[in-house]
Amino acid sequence: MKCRVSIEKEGAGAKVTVSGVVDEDMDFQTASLLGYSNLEFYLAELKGINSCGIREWIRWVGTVKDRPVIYHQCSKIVIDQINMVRGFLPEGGRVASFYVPYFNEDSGEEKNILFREGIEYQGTELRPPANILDEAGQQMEMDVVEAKYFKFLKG
Amino acid sequence: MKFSPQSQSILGTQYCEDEQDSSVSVYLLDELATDDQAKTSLYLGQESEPTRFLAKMADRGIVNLVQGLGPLELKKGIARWVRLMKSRERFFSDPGGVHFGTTFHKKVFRIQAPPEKILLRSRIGEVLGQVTNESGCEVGLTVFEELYMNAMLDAPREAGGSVGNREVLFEISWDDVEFVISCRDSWGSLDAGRLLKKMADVHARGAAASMNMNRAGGAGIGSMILLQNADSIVFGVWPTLFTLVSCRFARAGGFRSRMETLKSLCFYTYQELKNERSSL
Repeated sequence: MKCRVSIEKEGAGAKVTVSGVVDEDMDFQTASLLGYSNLEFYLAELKGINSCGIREWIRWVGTVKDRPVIYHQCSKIVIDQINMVRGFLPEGGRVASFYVPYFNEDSGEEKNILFREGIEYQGTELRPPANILDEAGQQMEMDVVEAKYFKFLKG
Repeated sequence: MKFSPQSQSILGTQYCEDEQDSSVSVYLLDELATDDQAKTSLYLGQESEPTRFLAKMADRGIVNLVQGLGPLELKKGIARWVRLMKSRERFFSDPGGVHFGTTFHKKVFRIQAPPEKILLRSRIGEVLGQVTNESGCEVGLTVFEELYMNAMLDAPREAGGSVGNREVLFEISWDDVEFVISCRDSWGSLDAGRLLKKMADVHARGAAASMNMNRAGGAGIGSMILLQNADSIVFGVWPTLFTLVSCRFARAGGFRSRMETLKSLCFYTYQELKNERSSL
């Protein structure tokens, strides 16, 4: 599953969509982020990133410098990296939405719920949806260690 | 095994009397043991924070750590470790067999060069999809990525060889409860002692501060990613022949239970041990 990057100009800014797996073969030099006033990344389809990929990502988004950067639809993999490595989300960058895994231990069902800024969270405050149900109508629980997963909201 | 009084208090006297069949000493991680015992002893822990248990291991040269929430988990871990120590050589050719001991299933994949990686990842993903749930697939594939880089790219570099001229073998093995991803390179260049110190250092300093931003080498945080995702890791080295890294996971359960599992670690170098201890 090769990594694909698409950059679409939107006014003075750009919409950047990244999908697939970011690994040691990824060369972001062909996806320049220079020349845009702001960048909005869409990351729902980013399915994997390894340690070399993390390094390449940091080098890539580090070229943005002080222009506004917003990450949308971050998968768990992206949130894990934001929490683990400073620089994965550039300084001053913002997460506008991200997925939170839910799980029901009895049915074993797993589900990802999109948390949106201003709705399911605001600043450091979480407002999780009241009822997340599996296919059988059973309550599902948030499937993360909250102190670790939501660490990035505290900046 | 010779159990320290503290380890006996956790495991129970009866169990410790039944298991007294070898010269291996068993201590709790927090006990003070002399440095010369650390390499050959088994340590038991209940420490969730990797920074803390890795620092203790690196400081004292501890290479065998079994962790578990209670006596049952610890005894299961001890049994696994004993099986591994009794089959140190066989582990390099049959990691699943050594891990599970009895009935299990396995799939083996061999690759020679980086262009084969995409197909391999997809085939491993297919097997994981049959063996575990979505979170298991995610942690399994994350670990696969790091094992692949260690074996295919880092090992030849460390051995002064070139990428793509020696086979890398992956094995996924499983029983009803657990699955294991093992990766064996054909270089045997891993320095287990150095790796342990590096893991402790990376965890102590944090990923960003430890990361090698120079493209000429690995990023330096792969071991951190392995430890975050796997329930236990065995690093076995047969110098100049093989390095085998074997990671264990639960087949069921969500991300939270995977994160909260207490991690076990074992580092061994086959020739060293062969000389040091003839049997358990």
